[in-house]
Amino acid sequence: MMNFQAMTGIAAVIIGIAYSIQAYHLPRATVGNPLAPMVFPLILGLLMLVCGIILLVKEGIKKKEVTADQEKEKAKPKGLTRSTKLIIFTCVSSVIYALLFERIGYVLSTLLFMSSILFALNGKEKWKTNIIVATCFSISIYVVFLKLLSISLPLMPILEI
Amino acid sequence: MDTIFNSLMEGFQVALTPGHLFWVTLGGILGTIVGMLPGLGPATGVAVLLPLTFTMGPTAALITMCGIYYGAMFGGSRSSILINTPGDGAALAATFDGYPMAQNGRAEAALAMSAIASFIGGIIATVFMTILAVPVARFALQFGPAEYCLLMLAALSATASMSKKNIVRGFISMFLGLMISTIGLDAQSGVKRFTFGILELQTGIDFLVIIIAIYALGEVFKCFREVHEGKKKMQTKFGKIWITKEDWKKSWLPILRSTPFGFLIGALPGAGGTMASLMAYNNEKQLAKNPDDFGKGDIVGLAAPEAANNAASVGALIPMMTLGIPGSGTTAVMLGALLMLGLQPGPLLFTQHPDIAWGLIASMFIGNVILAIVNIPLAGILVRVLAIPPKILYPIVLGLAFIGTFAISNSVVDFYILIIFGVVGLFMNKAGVPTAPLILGTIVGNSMEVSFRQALVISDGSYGIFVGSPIAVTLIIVTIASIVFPFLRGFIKSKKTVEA
Amino acid sequence: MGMIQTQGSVLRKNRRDKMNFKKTIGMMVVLMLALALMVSGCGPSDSKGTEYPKKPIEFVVPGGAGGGWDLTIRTVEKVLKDTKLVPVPMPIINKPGGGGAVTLAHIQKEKGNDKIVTVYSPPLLLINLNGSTEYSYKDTTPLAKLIEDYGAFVVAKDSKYGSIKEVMDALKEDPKSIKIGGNSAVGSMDHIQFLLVAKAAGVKNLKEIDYVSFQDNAGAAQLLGGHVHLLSTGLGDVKALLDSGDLRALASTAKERVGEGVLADIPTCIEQGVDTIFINWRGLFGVPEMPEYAQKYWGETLAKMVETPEWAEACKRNGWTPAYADAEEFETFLDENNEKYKKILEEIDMLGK
Repeated sequence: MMNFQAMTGIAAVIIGIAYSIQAYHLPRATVGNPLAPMVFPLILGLLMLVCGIILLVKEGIKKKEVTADQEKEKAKPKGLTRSTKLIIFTCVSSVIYALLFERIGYVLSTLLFMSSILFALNGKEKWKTNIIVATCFSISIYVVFLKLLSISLPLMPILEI
Repeated sequence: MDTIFNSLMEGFQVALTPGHLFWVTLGGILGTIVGMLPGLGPATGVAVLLPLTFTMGPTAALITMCGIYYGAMFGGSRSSILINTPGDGAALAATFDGYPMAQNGRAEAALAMSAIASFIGGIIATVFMTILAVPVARFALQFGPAEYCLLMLAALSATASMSKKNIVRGFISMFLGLMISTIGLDAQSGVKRFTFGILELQTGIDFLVIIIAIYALGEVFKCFREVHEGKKKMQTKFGKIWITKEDWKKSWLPILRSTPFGFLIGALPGAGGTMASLMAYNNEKQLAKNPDDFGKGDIVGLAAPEAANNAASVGALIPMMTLGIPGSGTTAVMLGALLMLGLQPGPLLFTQHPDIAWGLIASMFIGNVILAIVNIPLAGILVRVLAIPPKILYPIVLGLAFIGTFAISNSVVDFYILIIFGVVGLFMNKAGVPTAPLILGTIVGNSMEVSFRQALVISDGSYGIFVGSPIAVTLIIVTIASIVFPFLRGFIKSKKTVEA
Repeated sequence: MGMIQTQGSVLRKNRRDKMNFKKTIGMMVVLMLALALMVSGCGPSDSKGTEYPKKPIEFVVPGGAGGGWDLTIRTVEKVLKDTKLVPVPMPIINKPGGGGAVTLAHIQKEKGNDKIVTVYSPPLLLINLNGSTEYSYKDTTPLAKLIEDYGAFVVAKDSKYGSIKEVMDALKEDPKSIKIGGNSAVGSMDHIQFLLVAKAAGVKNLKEIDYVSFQDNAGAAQLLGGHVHLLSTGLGDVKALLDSGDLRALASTAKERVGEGVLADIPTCIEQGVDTIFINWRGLFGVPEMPEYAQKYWGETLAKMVETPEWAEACKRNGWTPAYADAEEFETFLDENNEKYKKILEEIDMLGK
C-alpha cells in the first residue's frame, strides 16, 4: 500500500505533465503575441512537475519513518469502508440530483435528494424526521431564494410553473 | 481638519434620523442572513437586495446598501466558524482558527470575537478613510500591472508556505488552484483554454463553487466518518466560555496591526478582502510566540484576519468614492446602483453631494456599531445550530451547498464541478495537502495572469518591469521572505535550544 | 461510583441536547411561519385573463452586475415598473462570461421561450466575427434598439498629447510608442473602435499597436497611474473624472457633439479630420424563435416606453442618446453593421475562421 505523500507526488507529476502538454497544444492567438495565451499555463505546468518531483525525492529519503502511520490506517478498515460507501452514495445521488434538477424542477428533485441523503445517514427508523426536514428545507429555500431574494430556480417545468 | 470634522458631524445628522437608522439596521440583518448562506457573499448580497432600495431616496438607498454590505461581511464568517464553510473568499481565513475554536467548545467566543474584531477593524478603517482617502487613493494608483502581479504572488506564496512542514504540498495546492483559474476563454485573446468543448466552461470555474465544494462538501464527507465512529464532538454548553482576559491580552495588538494593513490592501482596486485577511493571518503567525498554535483554535488567528477583512471592505470604497472606480465586485454593484440613483461617484461626489458622501461615511460608523450590537447577542442564538444533530445538520449543509452553487450562475453544470472538487478536496484532506492555497489560487489566478501579460505588453516583453519600481522590489522581498522566514525561525530556535 | 456519576451526567447532557434540538426546531418553525406570512403578502398577484404576460419575465444580463449591459436592462426594468407598462415582475439574472457568449449559448437552449429578454450591444456581432462563439445575432430575436452611446479616447491631464491627430502621428512614427488601454477584451469593442479611428487616420501597422485589456473597469485607474498612455472607453464611463479635470478627452467617436457640460466640450474625430464614427448601440433581444405574440407585445411596450418622460430622464442621466428603432429597422441595422465590422476585423486580421 502506498502512502498519501507519495501518491500526492505522483499525482502532481502526472497533472504537471498532462497540463503542460495540453497547454502546449493550445490554439495560437490571432492578435498580439500568438504564444501569449500559453506562456502562463506552461510555467504553471512545469512548476507543478518540479514540486511533484521534490515531494517524491523527499519521500524516498524518509520512507521508513512513515510506516507507523500506515499501521494506524490499517487498524480501522471497517469504519473506512462504511463511510466510503456513504460518500460514494452521496456522490451518486448528487449526480442524479443534477440530472433531475432542470428536468423535474427544483422542489421535487430537492425533496428526493434530501430524503435519500437523510435516510442513508439518519436511518430508516426516523423516517418522520427525515421527511419533515426534507420538506421544510425545500420549502424554506424556495421562499428565501425565490420570493425574498428573487433568485430564480426552475420550479416544476412539467406543470409549466 | 476642522472642516472634515464639521462635515462628518453633518453627515451624522443625515445618518442618524430614525428612518435611516431603521434602514441600516434592516440592511445589516438581511445582509448577515444572506452572507451566511454558502455561495452568497457581499457582492451577490448587495445585488439581490438591490431592488429593496429602488423606492428610496439616494441617501437612504446608499445607507441601506452599506448596511447590507457590512452585514454580508459579518455573516460570511459566521458559517466559517460554525460549519467550516466560508460564505465568501474573504471569510476563508476565519475557518483556520474559528472552526477549531468551535470544535473546542468555544463557538460563542469565536463568533463574538469575530464580530468585535470586525467592529474595531471597521471603525478604525472608517476613521482612516475620513482623513486619508485622498492620499491612499494616490498611493493605490502607483500599482500598475507589474505591481499587481507581484502583490498576488506575495499573497499566494505567503499562503502556500503557511505550514512549514508541508511547504511543497502547499505549493502543489497553489499551482492546482492557478491551473483551475486558467480554464475558460482567455480574457486577452479570446482563445478557448482547457474547455474540452463544454460551453459552460468558457466562463471559467467560479471560485465560489470551489470554496463550497472543498469546504462544505469536505465538511459533510468528514462528518460521515465521524458520525459512524461516534466521534463527532458537539458543543452543548452555551454561553459558558466567553472571551477571557487572556484572549484580550493576546488579541488587541494583532487587531490594531492588521487594521491599517487590511485597509491599504482593500484600497487597491481588485485586491480585496481575501488577500488582506490571508496576509494578515500569515503576518500574525510569523510574529506569534507559538506559531504552532495557529490552526488549532488560537483566537489571534481569528481576530487578526477578521479585523483586516473588515478594514479592507472599508478601503475598497475609496477608489469608488474618490475616483468612481469600483475596487471590488461589491462596490461595482454599488457603483451601478449609485448611477441608477442619478449620482456620479468620483472626485466631485464630495463637493457636489456632500450630504450623501458624508452621510455615507457616517453611516459606515453607525453600521459598524449596529452590526456589532446585533451580532454579539446573535452569537448566542447562532451557536444553537450546533445543537442540531449532525445527522440532520449535514444533509442540510449539503442541500444548501447545491442551492448556493446554483444561485452563483444558474447553471447545473456547476453541480458536476461541485461534486468533482468535493471529491478532490476529500483526497487533499486525506493526503494532508492544505486547501487554502488552492482557493486563493482560483480567486487571484486570472487577475494574476492578466496583469502578468499586461505588464509584458507595456514593457514590450522585457521582464525588467517586475523590478522597475520600489513597490515591485519591496513585494519581491516580501515574497522571498514569506518562504524563507519560517525556516530561518526554526533554525534559530533549534540553535537556541541546543545552546541552552 | 465515579462511573455512575459520569453516566448520569452523560444522560443529563443527552437530555439537554435533545431539549436544545427541540428548541432549535421550534425556532425554525416559527421563523418559517413568519417568512411564509411575509411572503404571502408580497407574492406576485395573479393577473386575470389569458393575455401575455402573466408570468414573470426573466431579464438576462450577458455581463456582470454594474456593467453597461446591466445598467441598461436595470434602467429598462425600473422604467417599465415605475410606469406600470409591464404588470409582472422582471427578475434580473446575470449570466456573464465570454464577452456575452455564455448568455448567447444559454438562450439557444431556450428556443421558443416567451419569458426571456436580454440586452446586447456591438460585442454581439464582434464575438461571433472574431471566432469567440459559433452563434451570431441571427440566433436571437431582435426586439428593439433603444439607445446609442459613443466611444471616447481619454488621456491623463498632464499627457503630452493634445489631440487625437498627435496620437496618430506618434503611432505612425512608432506603433509601439503609445500603449492603449481599454476595458473590453482584445478584439472587442474598445479595441476595435480605436483601430477604426487609427485606420481612418492612416496608421499602417495596425497589428503592431499594443492594446492592454483591463478587467472590472480598472482602465481609468491605470491611466491615472500612468501605466498606459491612452484609454479607449465609453463616453459616459469616465464622465466623473472628466468633470474633475483628472482626465482629458481627446476625441469622441460621435457624429456630432453630444450631451451637455463637459461631454459637449469633447471634439469629435470628424472635427479633427479623422473621418470615422463608432456607435455603441444597445438593444433588447428575445430568444430564437420567440413566439409572435411575445414579439408583438414587447415591440409595442418598448415603443410606448421610449415615449415616457421617465425614460427620457434616465437617458439624460446616463448620457445616452435615445435611438429607438423597431424590430424591423433594428434587423436591417444589425445586417449593415455586421458587414461593417467584418471588414474592420478582416483588415486587422482578427476575423475568426
